[in-house]
Amino acid sequence: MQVRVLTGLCLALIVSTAVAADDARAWLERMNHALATRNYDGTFFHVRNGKVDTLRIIHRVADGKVSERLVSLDGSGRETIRNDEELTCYLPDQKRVLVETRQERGALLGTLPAFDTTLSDNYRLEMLPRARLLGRTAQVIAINPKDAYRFGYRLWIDEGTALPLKTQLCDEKGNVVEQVLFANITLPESIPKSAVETQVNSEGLQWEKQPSPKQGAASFARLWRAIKAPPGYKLTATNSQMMEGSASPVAHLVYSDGLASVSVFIEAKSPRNEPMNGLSRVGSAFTFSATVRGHQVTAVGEVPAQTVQFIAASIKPEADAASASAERSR
Amino acid sequence: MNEYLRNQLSAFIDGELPKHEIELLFKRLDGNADLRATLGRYSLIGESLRTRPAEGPSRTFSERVRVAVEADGPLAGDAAARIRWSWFKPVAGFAVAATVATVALLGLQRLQAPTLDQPPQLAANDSSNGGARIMTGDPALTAAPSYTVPEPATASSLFNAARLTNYVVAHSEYSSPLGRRNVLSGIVAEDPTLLVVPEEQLAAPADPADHALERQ
Repeated sequence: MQVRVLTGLCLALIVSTAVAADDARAWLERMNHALATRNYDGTFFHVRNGKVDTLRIIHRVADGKVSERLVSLDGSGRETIRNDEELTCYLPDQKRVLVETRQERGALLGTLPAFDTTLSDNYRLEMLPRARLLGRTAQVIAINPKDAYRFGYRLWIDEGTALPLKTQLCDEKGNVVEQVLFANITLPESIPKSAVETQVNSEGLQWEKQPSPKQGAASFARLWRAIKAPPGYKLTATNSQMMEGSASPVAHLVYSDGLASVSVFIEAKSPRNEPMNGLSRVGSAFTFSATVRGHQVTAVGEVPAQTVQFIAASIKPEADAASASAERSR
Repeated sequence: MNEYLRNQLSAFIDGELPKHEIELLFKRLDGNADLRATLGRYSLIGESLRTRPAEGPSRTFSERVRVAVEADGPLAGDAAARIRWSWFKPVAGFAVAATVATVALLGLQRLQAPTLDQPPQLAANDSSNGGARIMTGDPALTAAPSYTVPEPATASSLFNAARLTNYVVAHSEYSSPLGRRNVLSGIVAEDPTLLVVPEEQLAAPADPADHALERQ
């Protein structure tokens, strides 16, 4: 009798955990859909290491096309404009404008990660109690990483709109690495096109637009791969592109666990360029650079430092990777 | 709004509020519409100043903020006082730290200024690179608890910072929506920081036998 009761309790626990994970997944899908498809205009605080930055985001969806403007409100004048064709970063304090052409056009709405069951290989989804935030009711969802190779999230998702009012990026121990809190957010029926156009006076700024890929550039990316990746990370994209400041094509490999992603950039070393080695941080992203077989390798991602280091250290020419793989299988 | 709240808010705006108080402030924001409105109003001041045509960021920005926030009442006046104070802080407190020639002064302040909850601890200069060693509490760097801010930027380090920014911009297209927002927020809010981590504090490579890095 006791065994039956215990078995029943265990089953009930398993079922309720699975249901909670499904509920959490449904909330995340709703949030992703809202982030991509709704018009919104909000001011938010970005807090990292006690440092607070104030930014404004304007997200416009019209005729199925998405455009988004992200503006620093601290006086630096920096802003990014993102649309179906390209991402433009205005950095007036550095006197330059970066233009990144989208590789797959028209796919902005199609680039959302799927919160499918494979996510649970690397993360544990959790429904936390509802909370009041900014005068609204929010469902709190935790995406807890199962190891130290990825960050997790705690999300306060507005019950009415499914937009995240507050987001915490957390390490595997639950420490908050950075957080975003909206001070205000509006959801207009429509947003004028002018609201997602830059206000930066670009006169005198240097425009850095990626040149068209050279012939044969595409095959360059296929010559490289990571012989080992952290658990759960898989190669999800490869391409080659010309980049400002690089004389030769730059291979771009993307490793993802379904939520976190790491890009690896590989380019032939040029005597013009000072070699880069070691760890750096650009905003929320860590980068790790190393020199491999006469090439500059840099891994970049919004992941813990050790993940970019792991992947950068594993990048090898395809031939080496194949022989290492054969060696391992013996 | 009482004096304590005004101080807390202005410290937050100025990036000087300790972490545990930030959480407290977030809780207060939840139940205080006036506080939220004031915070939002202040935040928009920066943009209204910035969007004046052809002005761009300049060394007189702090003065312009001061004038604008003083028009916003007692809170703004307090915030302005803090801005004036923090404007000079890098000069007094970070004579040793790096300067990046092309970075606007406000950006430079962000790179160098310590926060109250995690004050950088200046230790003896590292003679190998002339930098000041700074301890950081960034939990993302669990395997790498310290880094070095390099001495005055050279043309090549500026070039490398620009290359890293290019990489991060290209990477952002492959991030999840939340990840992308964080990455792009970081690009518009901060300058690249080179973290020179002692080798023994870095995580072990994937497979040391197969993946030894080629060194220069």
